[in-house]
Amino acid sequence: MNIIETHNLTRRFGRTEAVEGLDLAVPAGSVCALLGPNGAGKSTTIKMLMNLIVPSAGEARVMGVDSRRLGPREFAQIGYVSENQQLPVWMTVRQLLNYCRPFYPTWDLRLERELSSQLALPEDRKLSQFSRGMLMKAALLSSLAYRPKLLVLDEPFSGLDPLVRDELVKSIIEVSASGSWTVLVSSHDIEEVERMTDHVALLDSGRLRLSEPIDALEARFRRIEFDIPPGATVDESKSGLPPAWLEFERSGNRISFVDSAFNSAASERSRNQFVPVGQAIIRPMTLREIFLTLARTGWSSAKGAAA
Amino acid sequence: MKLTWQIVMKDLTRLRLALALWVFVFVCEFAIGIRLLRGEPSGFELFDRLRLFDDVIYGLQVCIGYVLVAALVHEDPLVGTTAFWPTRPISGARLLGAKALGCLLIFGVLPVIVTVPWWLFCGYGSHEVAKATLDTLGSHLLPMLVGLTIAVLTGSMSRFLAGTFLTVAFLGTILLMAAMAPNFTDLYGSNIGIQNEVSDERIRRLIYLGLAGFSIVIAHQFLTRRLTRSLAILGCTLGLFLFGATQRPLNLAHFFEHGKESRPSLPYTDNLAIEYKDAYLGYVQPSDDNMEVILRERFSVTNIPPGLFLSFYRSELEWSWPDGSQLHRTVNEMVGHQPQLPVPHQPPSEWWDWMRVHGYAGWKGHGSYKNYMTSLEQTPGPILEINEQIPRELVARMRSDPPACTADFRGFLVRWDPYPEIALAPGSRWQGDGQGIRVGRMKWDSRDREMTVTLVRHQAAIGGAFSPYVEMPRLWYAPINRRLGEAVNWRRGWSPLSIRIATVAITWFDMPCAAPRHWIGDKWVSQSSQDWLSDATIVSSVETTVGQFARKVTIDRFVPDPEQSDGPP
Repeated sequence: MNIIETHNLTRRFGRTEAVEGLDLAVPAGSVCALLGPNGAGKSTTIKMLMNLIVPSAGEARVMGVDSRRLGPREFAQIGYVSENQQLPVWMTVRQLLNYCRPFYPTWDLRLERELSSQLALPEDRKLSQFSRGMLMKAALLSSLAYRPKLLVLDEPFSGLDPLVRDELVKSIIEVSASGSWTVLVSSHDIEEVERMTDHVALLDSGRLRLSEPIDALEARFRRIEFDIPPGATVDESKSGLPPAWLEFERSGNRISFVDSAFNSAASERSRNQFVPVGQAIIRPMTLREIFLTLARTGWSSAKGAAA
Repeated sequence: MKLTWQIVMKDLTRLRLALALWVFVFVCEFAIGIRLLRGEPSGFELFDRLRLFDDVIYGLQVCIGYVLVAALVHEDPLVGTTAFWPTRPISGARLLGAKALGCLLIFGVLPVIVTVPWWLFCGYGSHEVAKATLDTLGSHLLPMLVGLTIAVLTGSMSRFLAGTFLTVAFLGTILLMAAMAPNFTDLYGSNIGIQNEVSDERIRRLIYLGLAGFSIVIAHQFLTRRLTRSLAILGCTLGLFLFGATQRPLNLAHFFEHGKESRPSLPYTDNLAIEYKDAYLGYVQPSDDNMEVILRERFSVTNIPPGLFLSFYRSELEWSWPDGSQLHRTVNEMVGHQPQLPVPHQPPSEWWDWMRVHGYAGWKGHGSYKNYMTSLEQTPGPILEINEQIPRELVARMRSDPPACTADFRGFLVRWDPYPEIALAPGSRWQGDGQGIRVGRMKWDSRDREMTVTLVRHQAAIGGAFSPYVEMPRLWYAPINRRLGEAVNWRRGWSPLSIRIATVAITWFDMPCAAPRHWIGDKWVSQSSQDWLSDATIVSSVETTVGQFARKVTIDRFVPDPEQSDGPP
């Protein structure tokens, strides 16, 4: 079951299409990363999902409800933390929690205390005196204590120094582990997200380039290197290369490329068809490497490769 | 409700310092009022200083209230995508309810609680307190609603202030354009034949229209957060407002025309007759280089319904000669035939004598010209007198070649009812029905006796637009001696000073109360002021409009009488 589904979701700002025909599904219970470069449309998508802006076309359903009709009942089960969210910074953490608590019938005081000590936030200090990282933690605390079914994090690591970022990621991983919620996190910080997600969606220029479980994604991408045997001829023209081979490079006798549809046996067959190869070096890729490869080769190859 | 209250409490906590300042400003205002009422009137200079101080405080009050409402809304902004509340289980309706409740507390309940002791100090009873409470709520509503409307359409204080600046600039431009239109000075009131009550009613309806439109914009923005649509609704409201201002019965544009309008609901009287009596030249200082002379036309008025008086709002005179040349004069200021107060046992026919006896007709004598000209407002009895300034050559022409003249009179029939009456003695006071009079000091000088009267009166804000009660009509005050049947009329030049503090209007004025002089033989003879004042009282009269009239008088040959002139007989 998908907790978030969008169909042809589109948002235009004047003549600019920030999000274009987005079809996205986030399975319940997953930790889904919405990745993409700056301006890819991640925040716009999330704002449409949270009914902060209205789609120009298409629809989004969050927990089975049209995003335009999200109301208190749904928001009582949604936690939303955004880098841009204006917290009532004149409050202390305690005041913030006291203010939020009555709105949530499922508020768990024990969890609040646990999270509070886990996040190590000084309760009696005003939020205005907090650093950016502490503010994000406070927002997280006020968005988790009621055990939301869906936690939406919009660029939570933006502008944070590595130490705080690491701490925050750890916190999210820990609290995610303690509940059965679905997490949607948008970021352009792939390395941080990789540690906590199990599903990834790639957005670029407002379009969804791929959406699949991270395991599957990492399983099908491999960097492959091998040497051409002496005397062998190869067809390096584009038409001569399998479409799943990306970033094909030749340096002397050394060939390297990224196989975006890696399958041990099938890939070996393809290689041998291309040129008889004895031994190839096959290396798994990080999400960041996959992301960069796709970005460099043009995002259109992502889906094709997946197919 | 608990959750709504949760938001309200959050807002009040957040704004507590601003609220303390808000209350402090009220208290400062009351301190001024108490000083004025408690302290002996010791000089108009003090009053002026306090009034200036009060103006500053009142300005502060408006500014603080205006910014406060924005701060209240911007605690949970409705514009933009970064607010905290939209992704929390808070509906727009709940937030609207919370903000409305917050507004009611801040701009209604809090001022009323703070003000009640002041009202009680001023002698308000429960009736007056209820009346003043509603008025206080209402009087804060308009600036608050304007601020609220701009606040819901902006997401931050800087944008709110920018929006306010734009609004003020827009209104300023409209007013500037209106001011450049002809007859702008006739915007209000009886000058063009619309009773003040009718003008008030029209302005009130426009205000209600604006309030309704603003309320819809506010509700819409709270419930939907669709800024473009809210702006469209605001645009429609402003359009309707302007349309309403130019259409009957909400006809403000009518003010810019030269036409007249009567209030249909007021019955016209049929019997009233106005006839031309004579015309003569008024007195002009011989040294006056002004080549114009005062032409005075007198008309006799008969069949005035018993107990009623006339109040002219407009008269037009047109002289035309056989060769086609014309002279047209509109006398907007003419409100002749209006008595100052009903003095018992004094028939209307005696008003003229009464006026002359009391020295209010212009006369020459005593070595200098006494500038107690016969005021049109004070022209008595069945004689209606109009003053015109016209060139000397024209008078000569009128005499040599008498023109035909048409006079068109329009006015109201008014009734004057004595209201409270108190003894003319320092410290005497009367209080009730939301108003009070207190005689402060009595000052004597070589020629006149004067006294300073402190007047306390409920006065609704914004023309009583928010008061469910009909406001007290116009009031006049004067000392009278019922035993002698004489009254001291107002002398021109008195300058009342007035402050309005939380619906309480405090007025100080000097009232001349020297005994009237009598014209005996060929000179004025003073009475003993002490005797006259010993059994004098101050009476106020309430003016109520009960009917209207329109009469046209035609004079075939208009010839100013060369023999007559101003002065005692």
